[in-house]
Amino acid sequence: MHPVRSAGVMRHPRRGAVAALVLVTAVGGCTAQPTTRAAAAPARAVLTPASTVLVLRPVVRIERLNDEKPLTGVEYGAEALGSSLSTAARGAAIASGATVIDCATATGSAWEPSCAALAAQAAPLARGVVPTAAGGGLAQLSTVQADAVVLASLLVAKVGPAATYNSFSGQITSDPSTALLSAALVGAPAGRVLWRNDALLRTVPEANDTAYQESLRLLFGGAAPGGDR
Amino acid sequence: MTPRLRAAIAAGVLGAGLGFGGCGSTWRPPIFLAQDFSDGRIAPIAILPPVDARIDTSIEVELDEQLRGDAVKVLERRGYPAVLSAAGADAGTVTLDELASADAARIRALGPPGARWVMILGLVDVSTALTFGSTGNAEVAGFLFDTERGVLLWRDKGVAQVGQGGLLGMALVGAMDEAAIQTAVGHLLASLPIQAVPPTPAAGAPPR
Repeated sequence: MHPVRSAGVMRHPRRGAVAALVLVTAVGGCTAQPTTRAAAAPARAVLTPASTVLVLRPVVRIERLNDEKPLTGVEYGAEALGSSLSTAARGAAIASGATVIDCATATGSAWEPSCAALAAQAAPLARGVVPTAAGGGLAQLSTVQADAVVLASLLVAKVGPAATYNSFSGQITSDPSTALLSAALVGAPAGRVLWRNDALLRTVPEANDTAYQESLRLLFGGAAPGGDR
Repeated sequence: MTPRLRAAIAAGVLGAGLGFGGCGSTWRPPIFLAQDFSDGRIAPIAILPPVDARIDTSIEVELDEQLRGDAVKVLERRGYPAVLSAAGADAGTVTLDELASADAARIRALGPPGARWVMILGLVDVSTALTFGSTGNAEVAGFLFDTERGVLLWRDKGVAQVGQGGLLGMALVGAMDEAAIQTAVGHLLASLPIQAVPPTPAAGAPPR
């Protein structure tokens, strides 16, 4: 499931067995269900069948929790995680009845320049921050389709130090790793944030984990009554 | 028993606390440190009200007391006089993402008028777990701006894992969040270079 990491200070075999039990329990206690913002509405709430949604390629960042140093995505299945996120984003837009343009398959179309111009801004857009540098891409998008909406999504997996057990002092720690999923709908050309949400998972997931799929559902479905629950 | 007392006991048991992160620990490079950081004396630092950047807000936190109160003590130990300050015009609306990408105009507008060095702390996450013992994890973020020049001087994050096994640890579960935050603030501010305190003129010495 998780990448193998050093368990720290365990040395004595018998104490190690006890420690392993404690650690398993501790880590188990931390892989709780994902959390989202309490008042978040579903993404589809702000879309109509008349909307045109440009779905940007999701950004997946795997980094070290302590200092944000990037880690190798391959080791953590970043591509599969991104693919699931992309599918969920597209699904949320389709569920609203809107016309959906997926940047992953927009090569050669009139949408390609907008996808290219906004790709580098997908991470801040997904967090609901519209940087000045996104202005060109949003303006470009509105020339193709006035009032088009951009759907940006981001996954930041923060890999923390492993859980530990110190048999001498009795101190224990649990794995602080988290995965934060963010998504936002941003209107062109003004760059107004129409909707945004985050979902937090207290583990670095694999794409087919139930908890990760639940996180995606919460992210786009929202936590408010009337969401995709 | 008050929450602060519980946290103090937990910190004592865990060997955590302000002293470790704020004074005794060796300097480590922060995520961002301006090249000209040490060119002049930075004092006083105005600490603005903290940002609650948590997604999971299930743990009740006295944000102001836990983040700012501890930060003042740690900063002073590292040679930075600090004062708690009222918020600027955008109080309660600024996010950590915006701070990380703030331009010069935005930075100049931070904080009350006249405050040159402005620090903002944010709580990114805090969690606890009860097992055969209990654990707490916290992640905090910090920014130090020079509002006169409109630049970011320092940015870093502090992460803490605390916990205690056994019945003692289980009894301390209610204090693990506070102990984790306290430790994380210490770790965060440990990446600020220690600033030398200027010598005070001896009594009776002739003015220069």
